[in-house]
Amino acid sequence: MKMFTQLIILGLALGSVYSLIAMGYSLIYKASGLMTFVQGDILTVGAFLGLTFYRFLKLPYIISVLLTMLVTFAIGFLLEKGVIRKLLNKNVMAIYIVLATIAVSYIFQNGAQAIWSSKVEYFPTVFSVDSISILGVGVQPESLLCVGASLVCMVVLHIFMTRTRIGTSMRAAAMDPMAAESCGINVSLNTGITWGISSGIAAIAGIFIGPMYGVYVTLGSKIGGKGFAGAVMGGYGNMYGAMVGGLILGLVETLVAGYISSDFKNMFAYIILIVFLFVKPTGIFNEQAIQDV
Amino acid sequence: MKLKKLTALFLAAAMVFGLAACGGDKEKEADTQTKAPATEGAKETKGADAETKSEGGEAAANGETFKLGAFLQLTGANSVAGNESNNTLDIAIDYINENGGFNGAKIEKVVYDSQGSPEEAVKVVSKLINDDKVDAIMGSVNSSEILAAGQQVNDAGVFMMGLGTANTWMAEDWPYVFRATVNNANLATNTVEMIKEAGYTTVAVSNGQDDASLSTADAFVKLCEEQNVEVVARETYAMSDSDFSAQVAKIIAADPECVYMTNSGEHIGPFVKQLRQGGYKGVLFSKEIMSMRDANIAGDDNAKYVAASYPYLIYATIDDCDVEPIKEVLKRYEERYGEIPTTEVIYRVWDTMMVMWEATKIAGSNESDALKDAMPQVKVDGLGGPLTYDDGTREGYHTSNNWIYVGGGKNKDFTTWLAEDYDTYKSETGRDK
Repeated sequence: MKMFTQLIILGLALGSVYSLIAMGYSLIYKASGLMTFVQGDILTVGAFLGLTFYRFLKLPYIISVLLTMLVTFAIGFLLEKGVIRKLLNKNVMAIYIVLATIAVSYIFQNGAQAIWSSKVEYFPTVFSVDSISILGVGVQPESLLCVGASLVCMVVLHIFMTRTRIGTSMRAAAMDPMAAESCGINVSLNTGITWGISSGIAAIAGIFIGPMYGVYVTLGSKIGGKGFAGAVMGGYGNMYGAMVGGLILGLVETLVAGYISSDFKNMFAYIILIVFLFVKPTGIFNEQAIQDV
Repeated sequence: MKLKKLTALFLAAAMVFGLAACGGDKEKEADTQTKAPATEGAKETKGADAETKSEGGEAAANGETFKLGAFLQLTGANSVAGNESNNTLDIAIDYINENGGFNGAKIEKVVYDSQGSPEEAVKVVSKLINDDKVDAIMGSVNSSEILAAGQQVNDAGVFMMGLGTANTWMAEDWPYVFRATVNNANLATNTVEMIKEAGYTTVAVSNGQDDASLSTADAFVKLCEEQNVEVVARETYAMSDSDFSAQVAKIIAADPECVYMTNSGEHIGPFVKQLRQGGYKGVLFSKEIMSMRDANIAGDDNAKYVAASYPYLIYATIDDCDVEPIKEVLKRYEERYGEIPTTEVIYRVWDTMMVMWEATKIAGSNESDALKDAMPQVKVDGLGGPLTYDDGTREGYHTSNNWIYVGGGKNKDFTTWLAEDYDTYKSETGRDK
């Protein structure tokens, strides 16, 4: 029973990391109708930036987090303006946008290596305790930070996208950019902001998991794939779906590794993704795909 | 236009900022043209032992070169070992060249990035043999790359020294392939002896899927069966994993008296950290010595009581090192690259170059066949002990040392620790064993 409890708690903690990444994917899709594969590598950049501010420049932790979010927001915004928007203006097919994000992800990986080197860097923890006991199970405090951050992001983003004027205009821009433009919505600015916010969320995940896993150039690319799977399972474009999808993925992975074999945990995670695509492509929250980019 | 300028300005600022912030930690580019600090002190280096050897010189005067091919993982997540190897290779080459070269021929390095990929290793080794027509080959610290590329090196009759530590590729019938690093299977034997010495009868095993990790774990499990040590759990992870929650839960549920891990690279620190945070406080035996970087990632307290059998140690500072030949190599490294290395691969490369140098002297020739035939006579004082090749195994190290990490960047002899500090460990962790 103790092992089951431990697996559930640790699975939820892991799932919340996936949820944070998944929300970034969903937000971009919801607001622009685009798919991206760069979220994981922005997580890496965020982790390295946090490391630079906090460990190398010795800035206070909260300042480091805020600065990292600010810089990654700018990176996301500029990425949209400098790459995505340029391609959209050429009226290219959506697949070319996806390919461009894959290319950018490799540029980010290699850029991170050029700037910060290929070493695994340690990210000092901000907590005075190394482990927090929940129902007798030792949990990393950073995991709880991820759980908290993912819950806050989920609620805030959902309200932002559904209850605010900017969010509504973002969704309108995603559904029909031309109609949105004719209504006076600055589509380009909206999507730029969306990419910026998504990047900021990925960076938060990067900073929070840095002390757990160390910081290295392929950190995000490993986790990014799982985040994407979580977003699809929950309903691509739905914030609650991203949260739930990420958590389910974390739980499945941990339970499969615990009760079947750790050899199969990744295989099962992606089998579930395939099953969802076949059986319920709209995900748990029945999020309809945006047809027209 | 404005946006373009802004973008360029931002990227430039980000790059400058990143470089300024991390300048102290960044590895310098390898530069074979830079002269090594060939000091008098360096000549005293035990591993080099230059005075007793012939100096050559004729070939150098004739402008002859010895083309040494190398394949190392220079990019990717675990490339720090490859880059530190490459740096050390430059230092060793300059040192040897300034002391006569290989029978007078100056060593010229040709290095390719094998990217941690066996497929890539096969490609670059083929290029080294067929296009660059190298005289000998060295590489890689990743055993899976050697296992993939070794056959063609041997078939081409090119002398090679591998830097990996797995037992698999040395078990192949490749008479042209040697090594001056440890054999993990032998170290696994020592580890089982350490486990028995501590009185443990149960162990859990954690291993990755790469060649060195998997083959060492297999050898360890087999040895445990023979020595009546019960393996109560065996957990594996994929190279892409960074979360070990389930493995930790299963190991804790199995309640072993100790844990043996053959994890490597970026997996050691997080695994140790997660295992400790999950509640496991027992002694962890490792196939590799705990590096300072891994101890930092795990947290110094969590890294305490990680034990390993290994010929040499990694030091937090040069002052911590009390082994003079190692100290000398570390000084050379720091002098040239502004920092001390974080992994023990630099010792592997240095030892390998010294062995190769000795072989050229004994052979009196730089031909691959002559080097191969000279190897059984090679005897070098390596950085971790004597290196000898007269038993026909093509392995250099036949001895090791047993250590346990006690925190603060310090390791202690395992037997001494058992005698002096074991009770403290038990009271600290609340464990019976």
